[in-house]
Amino acid sequence: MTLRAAKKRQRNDSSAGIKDLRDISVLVVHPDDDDGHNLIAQLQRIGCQVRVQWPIPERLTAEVDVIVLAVSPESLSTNTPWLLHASTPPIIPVIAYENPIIVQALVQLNACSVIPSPVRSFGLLTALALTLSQSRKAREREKHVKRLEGRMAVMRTVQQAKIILIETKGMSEIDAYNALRDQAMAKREPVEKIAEALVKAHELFQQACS
Amino acid sequence: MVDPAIRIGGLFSDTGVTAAAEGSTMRGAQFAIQQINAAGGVGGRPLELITRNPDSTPALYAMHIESLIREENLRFFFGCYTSAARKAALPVVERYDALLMYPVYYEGFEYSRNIIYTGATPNHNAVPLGNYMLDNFGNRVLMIGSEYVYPYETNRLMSDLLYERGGTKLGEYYLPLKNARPEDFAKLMVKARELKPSFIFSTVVGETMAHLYQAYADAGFDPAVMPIASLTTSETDIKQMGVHLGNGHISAATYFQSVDTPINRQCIAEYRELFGQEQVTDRCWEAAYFQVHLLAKAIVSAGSTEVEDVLQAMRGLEFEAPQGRVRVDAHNHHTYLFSRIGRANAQGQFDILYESQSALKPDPYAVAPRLNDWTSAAGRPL
Repeated sequence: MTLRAAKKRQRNDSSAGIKDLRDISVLVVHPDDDDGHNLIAQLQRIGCQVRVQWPIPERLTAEVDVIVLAVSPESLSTNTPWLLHASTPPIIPVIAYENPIIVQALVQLNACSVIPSPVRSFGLLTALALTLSQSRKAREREKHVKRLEGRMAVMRTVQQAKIILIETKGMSEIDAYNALRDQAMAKREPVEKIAEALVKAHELFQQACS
Repeated sequence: MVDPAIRIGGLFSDTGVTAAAEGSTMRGAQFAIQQINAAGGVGGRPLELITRNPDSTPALYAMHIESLIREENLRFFFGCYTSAARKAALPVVERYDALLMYPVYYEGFEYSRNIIYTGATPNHNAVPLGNYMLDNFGNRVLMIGSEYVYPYETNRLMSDLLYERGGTKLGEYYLPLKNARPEDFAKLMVKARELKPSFIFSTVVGETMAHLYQAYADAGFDPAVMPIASLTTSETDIKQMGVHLGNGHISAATYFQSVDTPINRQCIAEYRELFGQEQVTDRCWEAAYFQVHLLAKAIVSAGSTEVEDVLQAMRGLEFEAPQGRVRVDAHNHHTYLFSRIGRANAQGQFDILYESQSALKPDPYAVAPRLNDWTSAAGRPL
């Protein structure tokens, strides 16, 4: 991708949030050591709101945009299920070990970038930007999927209602739909509400007859 | 005028949970230095070991290395025991471009330009031991380890191996490296009685190892039927806890004191001459011993004590060690080593049950064990 293409994409992309980096609040969950100090100093240089906590708290009390978290073999055994909740802010792990058990933990944490120890100033800004953008995109994708699922359910109900009308009244598919729509307009309700009522009534009717 | 000594740093804990094992590695290094100096030193210059006691505490290894670099101007270091200690030392040796020679088997997944690893990677010890135990004792396994990265990672590998071979993991228990109590181990022996494993797989290290073997003996189990198979239990540990407790249990290592070669026999005789007839040797002692010789050879062949020159000479370097001929892998800085499995006897020595015919290539990044590792090792049962 050329620079121009990158710029163009950025303009069109509503989620491009690199400018927001200075406004975000970052929770650093890291021991008080050289790596911890370097992380905080660099986040402050970037201009983020930084808060620090250690050891890993039992629950997240404050509202933060992103968590920078020390992930070590020792911290794997601590009991902190909130880290894996869907509502937990995105996590950037800081790791000193590259063993499979650690990598598995990063996969579970749903991390999309990582800071290797010893921590250098280089790389943190990129990790923040990528993580924020990926998590925004993931959230939007989830919303989109929810909407689609809702629409699918509606279509299924309308389809069921049409089939009832076709089978019981001998209507054509177009007439069946028009009947549902006319009812909806007369009662000032959405088509799916009418369809839902029809399906329910039909079910009750069948139960009563059987 | 006599050439000034080549001064090297030794990070060996006299105190803390891994003091006994680190004492053995220190003696291995000291012994090699005495041999080298008696033979005229390195290019005419004697080696001088400057030791510090990091108290088995990771941050102190890093602190001592940094102070030896800044205040004593040292560049070459031996030691560190646990992975946590090595991980703490790694950024320091990289920042100052020093060289650390690390003499302990560990779980792999690391490479540093500034570290040479002379202990086993899992393909030297864990995979062969797992296969041996599954072949000879059965596939119901109870895992007991100390609470840190080496046991976690080793048990992950062992679980993979077990599942590939249709075995059952009966449990995976971790006890603190510090302060695990005898009664904690006794509780696990009650579990063992209920679950009836084919063998216990142990990665318990340090002082609490003796509690495990004591609890096993107190429970009245028979090592001939359901032994403890350990990657960590060495001659030095068995001497410390009492030979009766180790008797009949199994361990895997690159080296046992019982390796029957002229070089090893001579080496042990000379060592006992200098350090006392009661001394025993072990896997980490041997790695610490031969890595000093590797460094001396590399300095001679580089004709320099610059770290970069020595590193270049180190890559591919071979040495006739007590375990056999070893070689530093030029690409991953780990070492081609032998693979051996032994059963402890009544004298606290290991009767060797299996050994590879040659040194095996180190594989520090093996995510999953390959089943043919065992046969490709071209070993022979003894």
